[in-house]
Amino acid sequence: MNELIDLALIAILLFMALFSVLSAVLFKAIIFFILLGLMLAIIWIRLDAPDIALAEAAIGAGITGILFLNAQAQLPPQHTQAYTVSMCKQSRFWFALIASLSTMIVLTLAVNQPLNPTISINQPIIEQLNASGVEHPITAILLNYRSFDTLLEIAVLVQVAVIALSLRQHEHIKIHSPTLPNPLLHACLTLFLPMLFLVSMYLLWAGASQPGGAFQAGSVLAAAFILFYLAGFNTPINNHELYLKFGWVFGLSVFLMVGILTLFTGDALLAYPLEFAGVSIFFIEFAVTLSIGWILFSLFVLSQNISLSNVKENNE
Amino acid sequence: MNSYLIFSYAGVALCGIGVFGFIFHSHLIKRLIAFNILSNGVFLILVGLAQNAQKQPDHLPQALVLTGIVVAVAATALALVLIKQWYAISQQTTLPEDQEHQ
Amino acid sequence: MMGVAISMPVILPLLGAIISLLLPARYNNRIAFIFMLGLVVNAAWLLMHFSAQGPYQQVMGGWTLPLGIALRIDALAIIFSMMSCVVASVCGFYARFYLRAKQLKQFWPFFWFLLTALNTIWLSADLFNLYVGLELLTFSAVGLVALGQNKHALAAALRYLFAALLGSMGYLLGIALLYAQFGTLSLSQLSDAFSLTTTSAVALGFMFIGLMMKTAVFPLHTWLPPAHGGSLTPVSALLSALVIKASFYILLRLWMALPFGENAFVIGSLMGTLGGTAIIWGSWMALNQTQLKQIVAYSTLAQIGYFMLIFPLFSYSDPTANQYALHGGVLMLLSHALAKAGMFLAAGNLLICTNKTDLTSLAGLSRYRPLNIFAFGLAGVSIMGLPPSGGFNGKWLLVQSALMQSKWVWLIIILLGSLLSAAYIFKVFSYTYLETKAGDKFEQPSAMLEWSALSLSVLSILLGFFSVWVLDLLTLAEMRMP
Repeated sequence: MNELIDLALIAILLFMALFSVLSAVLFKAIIFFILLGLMLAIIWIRLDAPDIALAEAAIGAGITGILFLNAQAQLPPQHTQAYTVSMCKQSRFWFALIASLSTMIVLTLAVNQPLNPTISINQPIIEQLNASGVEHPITAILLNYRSFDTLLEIAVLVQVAVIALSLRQHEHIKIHSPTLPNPLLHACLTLFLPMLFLVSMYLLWAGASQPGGAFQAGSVLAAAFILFYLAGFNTPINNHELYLKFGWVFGLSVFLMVGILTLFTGDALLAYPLEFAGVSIFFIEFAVTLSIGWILFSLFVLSQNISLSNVKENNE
Repeated sequence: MNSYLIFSYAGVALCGIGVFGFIFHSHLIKRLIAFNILSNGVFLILVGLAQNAQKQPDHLPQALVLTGIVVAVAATALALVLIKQWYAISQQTTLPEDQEHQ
Repeated sequence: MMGVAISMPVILPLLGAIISLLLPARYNNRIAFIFMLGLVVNAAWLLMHFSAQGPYQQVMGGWTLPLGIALRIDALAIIFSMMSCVVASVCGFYARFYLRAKQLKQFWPFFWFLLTALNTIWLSADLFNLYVGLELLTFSAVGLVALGQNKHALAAALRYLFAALLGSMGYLLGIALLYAQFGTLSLSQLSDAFSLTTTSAVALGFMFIGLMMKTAVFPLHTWLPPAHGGSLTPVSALLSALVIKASFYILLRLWMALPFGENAFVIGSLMGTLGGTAIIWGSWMALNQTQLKQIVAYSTLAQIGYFMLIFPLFSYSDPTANQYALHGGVLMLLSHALAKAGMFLAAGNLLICTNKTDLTSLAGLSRYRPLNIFAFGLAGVSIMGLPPSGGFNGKWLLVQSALMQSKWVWLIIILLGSLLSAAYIFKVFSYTYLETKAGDKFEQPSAMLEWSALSLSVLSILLGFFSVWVLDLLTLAEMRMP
């Protein structure tokens, strides 16, 4: 019975993927991609990975989808033209098909083998949980055992935001906010925004003992910011470079500062003293959540109207 | 055949579809969607296969996938910003070497 | 104390990135100076510690191995972090005088993130951590390429980004399969547990292809010439000298750590074939270019081919030959980093002089701007592999290794590649010696720019005299290997 559910899920998943890749219209491709993300969220639950399910729904399908739709809206319709059957006659089509088939065959061979790993990492993860400062193993891995990965990952996010800013050629160009003077939207917003913030903070708080954590909380926060922005409430903060940058590096700085402090108390990077482990992790997560939310939001805002400002400039 | 293994095979299929789209499409945003499908396939294999080998939920690959998802969204955002800038300058949505193929 | 020293190469540049983002632009240069000095001192300290006490490994967070991420110091890590310190310092210094104020302000954060990523890759002994490091490296490199802001730079950045993303997915797929098979991400544990099965072979296949894509090994190289040739000069130098080395370094690490047994010969020959083709193809393309920086960029393709020759020559049959192959390869990597950075900077200076990008406009420069031609030439000596230079010693050791194992094919390719590289470098020279009647109509690049290019070229020659130090370090590591 369970296998039937799995197979049905996979069938839908693969159809979504195929539609998304083969659809001629860009908008459809994006919509199918978002649906694929939602299917994946369900699949992750079947794989006993509720954390990834949350992240996939919030980041994978949600934020990625928003970014794609936002980009698509700025390209003119003639660039989303239909592909014709003649594409199949191109060498490129056959090359892609051969590459894809050989990837699948080779991977199937690899996946098909019986695997008996001699080292089990799950055992020590559970055993050391008491010393990690949190009760949820995934949070323990992300912010304690392998916290260096997470530090670099936050750096990756900051880096991407900085590139997005550097591509805006003129700092003084204000971001034109698309205002939607819709009273209903504003009324809904007063209801939604507090709830979004509450959900975000709950996810953050829950991360210590159950699925949830900084990434999920941060992306919900970003969604709240984006909603706020789309409703037409444009704050000067969006337009001032220093505020933007400060928000980006806040999480990274707190993380790095804790890392440097532990370096002198424990002689290893990010080796929290046992009694402070829980508190350190909470502070880092809180700061990182704010920064992730701010970075994802900035990425959305900064890519807004890039084309407009430059097209104007080229015409002048 | 447990669900872990079944979903690893689903990951293999997603990888195949992703690779096809990545090479086939010259439209940069479509190529980016294919990249995202490919990365989701890799994530499924990462968790599914490890859990199939351990015969129980394995926390480490799950944490790796969380990191991977964030890196993937960062990559997507970066690529989209570049694509939009490229469109603003060149009025094209494909790279110069792909333009004669259209 | 050691815990501080081993994490400094990552912490300092990260701190530099944060500070350069927050503080006003006028402090950036001073901070760069202080932090680079700190990094150099730190690297020297690590070097002393290594030569006194041998390799050192520390797991971050104070955990034990399968749980945490290990950083390790050994000969290769020391040599590469020293190399990136020196090259990055000079490139940063050059950028300080070369870029306009606004570009410079955007340059520094990328520079620091790039250095963070590079140092992470040199030190880390954890497969997934290397993946995150590679992504950070890719994004900072893409950001640097896009600093050019024109049409070519943007297209190059996009092409580079997509190639690199596909490459990292290959690498991550390999990690997924390896982890499922062996249950660990740590390179040292993997090295003990490894055996070549179908799954691990497929895993390594994907990892190697992914890494070769990021290194721009023939035939996965098409993104490199526009990205390296079309960027701002200090960026080209950083990319060509350091960034491609990072993915190659991981390739080399995997090759040395994992026992391939009988299959080493087949895999090595395959990779050597790609390398050999890259040498011939890259040199030939370089010979046919008409733009100065494109020649230098294609020359990088050919040099990557030489690095790839380590694999067929380092294949377990003969310990001495292996040692020569590794030593020769490391010397090639080092001297290429110095010489190629020097060459790009010198080429950038020549472009400032002429204000044009094509070769024919170089006519007369030998008479009026000899210093820049000299810098370009010295770097060229090392690239061609003429004595006395680091490039010569590296090639010599590779040739020795090929001779000992009677692998004539590689020998012929190395020699042929040297001839071709001599051809394209002398081609540039021949243009500069042409006499024109126009007289000294050239711009004068600032002395700082000229001397920083020259310093790297001179270092690549000096490496020829001090190769034995580098080789001693490597031998020391081998003796101490458990």
